[in-house]
Amino acid sequence: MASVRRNPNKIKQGSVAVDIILYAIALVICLITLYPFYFVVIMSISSPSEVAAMNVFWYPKGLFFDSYELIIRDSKMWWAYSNTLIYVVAGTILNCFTAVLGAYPLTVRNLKGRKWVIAFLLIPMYFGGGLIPSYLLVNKLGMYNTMFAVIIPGMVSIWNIILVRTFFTTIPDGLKESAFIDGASHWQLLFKVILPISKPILAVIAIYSIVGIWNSWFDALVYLPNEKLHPLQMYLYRVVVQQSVDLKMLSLEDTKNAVANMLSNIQLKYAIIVFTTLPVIFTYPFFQKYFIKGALLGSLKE
Amino acid sequence: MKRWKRTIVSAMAAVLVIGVVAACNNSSGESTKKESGDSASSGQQNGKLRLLGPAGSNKYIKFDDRAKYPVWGEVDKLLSDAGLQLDYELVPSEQYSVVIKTRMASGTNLPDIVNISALDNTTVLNLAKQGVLLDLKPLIEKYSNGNIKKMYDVEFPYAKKSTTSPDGKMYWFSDLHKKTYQGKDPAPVSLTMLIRKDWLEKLNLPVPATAEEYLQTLKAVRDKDANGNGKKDEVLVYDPSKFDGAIAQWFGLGTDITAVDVESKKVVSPWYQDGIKDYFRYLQQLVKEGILDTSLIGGTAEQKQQKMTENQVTSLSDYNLETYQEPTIQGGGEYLPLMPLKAVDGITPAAQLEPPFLVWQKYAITKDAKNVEAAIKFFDTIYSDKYADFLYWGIEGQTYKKDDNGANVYINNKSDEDLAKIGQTPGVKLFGDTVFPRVQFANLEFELSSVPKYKADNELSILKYKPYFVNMNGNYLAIPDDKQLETKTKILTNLSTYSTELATKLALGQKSLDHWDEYIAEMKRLDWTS
Repeated sequence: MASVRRNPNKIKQGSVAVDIILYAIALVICLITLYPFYFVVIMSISSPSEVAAMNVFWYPKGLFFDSYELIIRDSKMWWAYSNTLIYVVAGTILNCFTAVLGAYPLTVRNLKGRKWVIAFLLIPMYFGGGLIPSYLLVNKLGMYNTMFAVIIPGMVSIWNIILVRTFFTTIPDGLKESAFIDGASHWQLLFKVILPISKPILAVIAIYSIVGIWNSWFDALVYLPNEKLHPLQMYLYRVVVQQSVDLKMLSLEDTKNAVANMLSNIQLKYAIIVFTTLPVIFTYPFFQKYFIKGALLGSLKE
Repeated sequence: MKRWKRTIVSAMAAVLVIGVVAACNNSSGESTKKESGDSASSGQQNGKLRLLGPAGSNKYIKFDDRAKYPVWGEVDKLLSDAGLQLDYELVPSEQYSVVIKTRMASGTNLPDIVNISALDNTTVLNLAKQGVLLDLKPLIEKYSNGNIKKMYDVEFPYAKKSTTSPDGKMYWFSDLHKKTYQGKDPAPVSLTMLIRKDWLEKLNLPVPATAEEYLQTLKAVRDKDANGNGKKDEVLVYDPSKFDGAIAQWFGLGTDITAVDVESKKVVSPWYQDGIKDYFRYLQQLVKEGILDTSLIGGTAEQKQQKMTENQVTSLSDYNLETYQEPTIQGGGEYLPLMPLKAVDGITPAAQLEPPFLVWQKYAITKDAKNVEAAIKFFDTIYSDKYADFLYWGIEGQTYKKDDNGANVYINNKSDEDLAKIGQTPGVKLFGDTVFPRVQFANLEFELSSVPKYKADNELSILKYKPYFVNMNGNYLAIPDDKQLETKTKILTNLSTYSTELATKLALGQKSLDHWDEYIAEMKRLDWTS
């Protein structure tokens, strides 16, 4: 009977040692990833003096919930929250809508100049108009200092169109042809045949849009001087900026105010970060599989 | 399941519609806190003006609540009497810099009067060249009732010089500040080294009288564990990368890479002054002894505050009359301001002063101003004695009173939160630096009465101290012309970087003083105008 030679150095699949090593690595990565979140949470509920002294590392010191009370009581924060919800819902719906309408024609084989249109769409992905021309456009269109200034310019994403188009091209031609044979128009084909089987890609776009819009603040910084229209991230931005004042540039009188502002904001900013991030953090687990799908779609080539 | 889907879709559609409606409403309202003016309610409607500026950053005293403050009633009456009807567009101060830069660069949607303090001189002069900002001089000549001239020519003559551009025109009005003592003497305050008074007393250490004693004192404080936490962590917070910490002036050095020697009317650079090498030798000693906390070099205000709160800061550079650091120390503490300490034979230590006369901020009239006469009337109202009183002191009997010597002193030295509750505040906290310039006739008497005696004594000693350098050199320099600006920008970028790096490395001992001539040669190479 021939004996099987065993290589003592070979790491077997399913080996306990390998499992332990892999779990240990995964655990370390998890801790590295999760600790910043945990750190922000414990800072947000620790005493302001302990936070200013940076004495908090493993657990909260001197439990202090006044910052949360301050935030909850601040009507500006609730304004910002409701604005963000409006921006997110409106932006997401419009993004899905424009992505679908933009993508479908680009999958129609006999559409004349289709390749030119695709090439044309790629240009704005690499080159922007610049801040001042964008500002002039928004201003001339009468959108400056209105919610439209944040919603409309962000409603079309070329990236999303390309993702949806890539997905549509994976749908078998036979399905489309049979729909046409049954007398369906392009509209009927799109809305009654293609869209019902395109939920995964719509979910991908929706989650990309939700996260993107939830975290955005720059458009609001430029186009929305009215604080009643500010999204939540602008609220956070303002607290952080108040804290980064160069005290050396100020006179004695102004320094007093700046120091007072800075001190009260040191702890407050952590509470605001928790408050502004939680909804999106809770959204992630539910949409995780779509994120992965989105990444795969982006990697496909025709 | 289908019903759920329908519900969700309906809800999303409803939010979308609400969003659109909300956006529509805002567009029609144009409500960037754009508030119709309270002034000119009596019907003198000829002076409509749109003003754009940053909202105040005070958390408790807010411009939105101005109606509840008697001082606003008085200022509003002044504006109303001038026939002005004002629309305020106030943008959150943290956002204002971006908003104003974008709007001015685009040249559209401009108000009549605008706070352009966030723009540097180069940008402002370019805007003026493009005709976006108006030259104020002919407008003042034509429309002013004399208030502006009186303020600029008589009360603050230096203001005119520092706001007149090289072409002889004037494109902006400014905040004007004057601090006096006993009604006449200019009263600068100093930026000096502060040292923990309570620790000196606890350890029975004398107040240092020379730079060497200062070093030994800091060492003793650390070695004897003044904060009692069992660690040698009592440190000096000092940034050696620049020259604006007060130790540099003990060695007779200017406060910036180019600094103004006001008394001799010269511009000097610390790199070419006698005490420079001794200064770096001294810093090297502080670093070597572990007294100077090198981890804070280039650190943020928040990081420095952390050390302060942890009760580890023995000494730092700050205003001699500051009272805002002490409450932030865990366990409490007191800071004693030091007079300039002798460091080198043959060099009289200099003080660093905040000038008693300040000119800052910029308020301009734009090309879109439809009624420039009203705009000048607005500034005539601002540069009046009455407004200056309301702005800085408030209302006599309510927010301030006269002391035995006739000097103004505040009545309610309370926190802003308390002042907001009782509705008693001077105008500066309510509307200063928004679209309303600050015109301030401050006095030292009140400040002396609100600080501990040892701080007041230091201030009285520093009043006439010489020699000195100032912390705001820009106040003494003329506005450069285009060519000068271009040259300055080209030179300073590289030179400042080199200076900062070199100063840090010399202080840390990473570069040797033996190669001094090479450093200076490199600096001269970078300053190709010399």
